Amino acid sequence: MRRDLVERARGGDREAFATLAADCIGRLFNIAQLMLRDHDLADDAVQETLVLAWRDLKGLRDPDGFDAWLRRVLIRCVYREANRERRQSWRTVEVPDIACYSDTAQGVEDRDTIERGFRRLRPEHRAVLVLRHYLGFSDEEAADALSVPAGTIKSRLNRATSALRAELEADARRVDRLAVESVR
Amino acid sequence: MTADRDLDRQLGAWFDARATQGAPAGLLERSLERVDTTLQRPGWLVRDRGRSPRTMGRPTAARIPLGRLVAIVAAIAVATGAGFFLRLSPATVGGPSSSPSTSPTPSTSVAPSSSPSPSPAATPRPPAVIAYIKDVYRTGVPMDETSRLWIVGADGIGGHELFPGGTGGQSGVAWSPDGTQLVYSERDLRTATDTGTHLYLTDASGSTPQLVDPGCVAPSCYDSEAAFSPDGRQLVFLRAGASTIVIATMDLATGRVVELGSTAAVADERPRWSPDGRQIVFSRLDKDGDLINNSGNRSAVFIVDADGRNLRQLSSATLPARLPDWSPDGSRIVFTSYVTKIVRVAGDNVFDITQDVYTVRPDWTDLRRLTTEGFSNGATWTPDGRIMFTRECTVQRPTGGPSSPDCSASGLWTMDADGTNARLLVPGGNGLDGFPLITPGMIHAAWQPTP
Repeated sequence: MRRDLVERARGGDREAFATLAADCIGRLFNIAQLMLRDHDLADDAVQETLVLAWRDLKGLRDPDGFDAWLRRVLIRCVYREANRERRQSWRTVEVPDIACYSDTAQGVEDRDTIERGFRRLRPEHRAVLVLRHYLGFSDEEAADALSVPAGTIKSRLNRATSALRAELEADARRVDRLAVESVR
Repeated sequence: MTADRDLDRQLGAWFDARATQGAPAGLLERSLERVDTTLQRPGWLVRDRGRSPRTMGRPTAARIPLGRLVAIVAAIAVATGAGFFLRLSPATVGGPSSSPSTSPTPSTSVAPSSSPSPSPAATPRPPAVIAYIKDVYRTGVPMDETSRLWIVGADGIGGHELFPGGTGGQSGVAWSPDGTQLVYSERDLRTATDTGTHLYLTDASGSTPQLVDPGCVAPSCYDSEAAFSPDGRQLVFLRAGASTIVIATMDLATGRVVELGSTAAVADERPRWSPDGRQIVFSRLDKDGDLINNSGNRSAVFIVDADGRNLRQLSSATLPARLPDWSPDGSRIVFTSYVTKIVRVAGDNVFDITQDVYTVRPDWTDLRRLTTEGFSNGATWTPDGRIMFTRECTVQRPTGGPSSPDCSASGLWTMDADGTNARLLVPGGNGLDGFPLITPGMIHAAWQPTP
């Protein structure tokens, strides 16, 4: 069924493409949102992904590879949006005020801590973490999605994990310092 | 190890909590509205593995994440010709007519009716000009659809769009030997139906474009990269079908097209006549258009007789060679060598990209490298035997390369045939968000001959 939709869309059937788009757009947006940490940028990335996917669909040789191909298109668009974000200094990601979550419940605090650390990562590090931990990709699948050698995934994942841990530890030190200052 | 597992667990829980919201309302509809105004490309037009928007690339740092570099390489590949399929095509029957108030509608009357022979030089000719393609990326306009034909004086002054206000992607410019006619290709990817890519004739003043081959219609008509024969009576060009490209010639007086079947391949580019009119030189990429050279040479220059016989590879197996052009006196061929390797720099995988201009004798001896700075490519000869080429300085090679660039400016350059006296003729931008880029590569610029 899905193969049939892809083949029809590849043949220019706009309705078939709309069906495919409706089926995958939520997942695309979630991935983009996780990687970009910005609603508007994710929105733009998904729009661009679907436009490019439609435009270039005839170049997809294997209809069964549609989903993987679409993810590659998405990731390229995500990187593009991330680079655009970098060029526009006024859109730099804001880090939430540290005081606003210092007294919340532990679970929420853990998640907020992850949130802050994750936001500070480089886009390529966010990307590999999303592929591995959200999508559950193997090294080979992640390498395919990012168009890099499989060996690069391992090293990039290590660097991403180390960077995230460093951010969490730095965050913890800031919280500790705040707590000490508040006691004084 | 335990700490790693804890972090993985926290991260997994965080993703679970964050990633279930789905797409925002209206996103699907907005996306499909844009899809409705986007034309699907033919399959052969999309051989861009890993290609991504040009705006992704062009970083200035030497250490660049591989993912971004994939985009850079692809974008440069596009710019230099691998992307012939991607960008060049852009043109459409009626493309220039989309803005009739400012852009003349291409004539669909029988095209090559008039002889391209020169008008008598009884009256003084205006100074020579250069035709070139410039990209301006605009918000909301799909990539590759904003390549437009520009004209500038040979002194680099007075640049202007030849058909302002048009929307079709234009490319592949070349002058007739007498400088009175200009051939280019055009396609509009935003029309409702695929109308193919067509060749048009005009002149330096932007006279109403004349459709070269009205009998050629989509889906089998994607003509591009045309050049005049030395006597001005024929064109050589690329004609793309569903899966292959063939080099073809057309008699401009009769309109008769001859496809040189021996040249059929998936990625031929830039055919150019020899000055004696007997041979045609062109370059060819491998079947995937993949330009990463770690696994070997991916591009080569070929030569074939003008009747399609005696096809053979001209360039060596060791040095990638693309986008050839014959010197006016026939003594040398200029080409671009495009080498891209994945190397390790300070622990990161990076692309080590080299694009430089070379000349060589037609028997492929006496090879001379003429450039070492930036990305120099898309070289063509000027009528007086100099070389015009494009240079990009916005991307640097990895630190420690043999010719780490000290590149002063991107744009259209000229140099003597031995590589000396290089000078910037027309500055180019970085192609990003409204800053114009003089399109490098095979879509190149062409210097108008003067009688």
